[in-house]
Amino acid sequence: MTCEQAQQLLAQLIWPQVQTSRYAALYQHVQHCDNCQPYWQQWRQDEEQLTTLLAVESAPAGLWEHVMTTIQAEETYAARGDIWRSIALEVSPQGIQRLVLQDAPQAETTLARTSTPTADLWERALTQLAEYFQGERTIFQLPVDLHACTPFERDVLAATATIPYGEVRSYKWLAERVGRPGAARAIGNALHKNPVPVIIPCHRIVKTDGSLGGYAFGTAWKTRLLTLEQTTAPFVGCSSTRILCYRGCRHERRVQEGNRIHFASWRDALEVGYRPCKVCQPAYQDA
Amino acid sequence: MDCSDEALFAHGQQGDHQAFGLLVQRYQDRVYSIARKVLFHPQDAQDAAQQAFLQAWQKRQAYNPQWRFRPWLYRIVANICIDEYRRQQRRRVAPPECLAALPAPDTPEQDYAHQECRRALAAALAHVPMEARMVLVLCYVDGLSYGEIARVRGISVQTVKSQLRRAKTLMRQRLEAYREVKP
Repeated sequence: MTCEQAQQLLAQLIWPQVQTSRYAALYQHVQHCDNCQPYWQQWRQDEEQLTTLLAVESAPAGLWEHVMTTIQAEETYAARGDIWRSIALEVSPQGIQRLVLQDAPQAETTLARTSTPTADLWERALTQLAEYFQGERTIFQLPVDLHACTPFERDVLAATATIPYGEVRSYKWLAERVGRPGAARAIGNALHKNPVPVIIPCHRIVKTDGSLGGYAFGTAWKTRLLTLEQTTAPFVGCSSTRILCYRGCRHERRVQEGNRIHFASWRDALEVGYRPCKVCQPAYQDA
Repeated sequence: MDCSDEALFAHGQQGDHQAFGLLVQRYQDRVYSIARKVLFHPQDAQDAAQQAFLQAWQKRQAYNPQWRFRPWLYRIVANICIDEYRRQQRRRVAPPECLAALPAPDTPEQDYAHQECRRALAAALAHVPMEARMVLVLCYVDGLSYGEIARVRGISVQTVKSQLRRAKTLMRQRLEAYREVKP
């Protein structure tokens, strides 16, 4: 190898791409050539520095877990059907701030990719909503953030939240309930502003004459929600413990398949010897 | 059981999380390092690495079992890093304070000269144009061959070689300038 060839090679040679035969010839040449020694030293120094700078470093702890949990979560979401695409949620650290029902399904759901303090609540809310729409849940165990509502609106929503699954009440009933008889129209306005529909069931309010009344997201949604509730038995009794739960209660989840008895009314269940669950209290929540 | 990348990913394609988990474990350090050396900021690098694995999982059906897994994964990483870099450029986010933070790999040496040298090297790397930097990083971090880098970046082997030369020349120029200022 000549000096010219050696220096040309050194200008091109990259340590990770070194081929043994060429490197051996080069190495032999530079060991005996004072002329090429400075180039050789320079090359070695550059390569050492680059190799150190670009060495593999450990990935931060939690990267693997994050990837695997997100994959798992996405699979679960996919299995839960398409209702995700019709729901938009806003969550604050205090609770669910806003829920919007969309007519046109969105192209992609917005999955929480980073762990924020609200991601856990967001996740819980979506799970419970999916169960609700699949007829597997009749009560929501979620905090709601109503800070944007007026005190009157908050009273109306609190009274609305007591209406049991599968039943309906009138605007007039609600007006009397919040101590403002005659303010049925104001009640209608307050319900229209309900930031968390479905979770606070404003769809369970209909007109006194029995007609459907309005709904913030269109009467199609109201009909869909009421039909779902009227075709789902809201109570589940366990024939071995004789305890009656709301569908969705954590004790209801533990009832074995052979022991499940479905009830449309808690009164029927109590008459045949069941007692209400102390956690979800089906008989006491009835308005 | 065949534990090659391709065999594991074939299991992953059929929905086996565990097999894909093993691949993530196998590649997380290298994928993170590539993103780290290209984007500099640790958080950006972590996000890019996570996104790369998620994308690999989501697009698993588009993977042809006859392909090599490593270049396919690195192609995803490289594209994500370049997209992120362009986003940063649009937002004009300069990462100068992150340059010094490129970590010393497992060496307890804390002496000033060593730190200074690393800083200069990292600064020199930051001045290498993105495409050349990506090729350099792929070459040094995981020792990819010219052919593999060409496949990852969708360029010819000749372009890989010239980009590498360009990157090294630029770095050497910057370092020489640095050594003249601080002999």
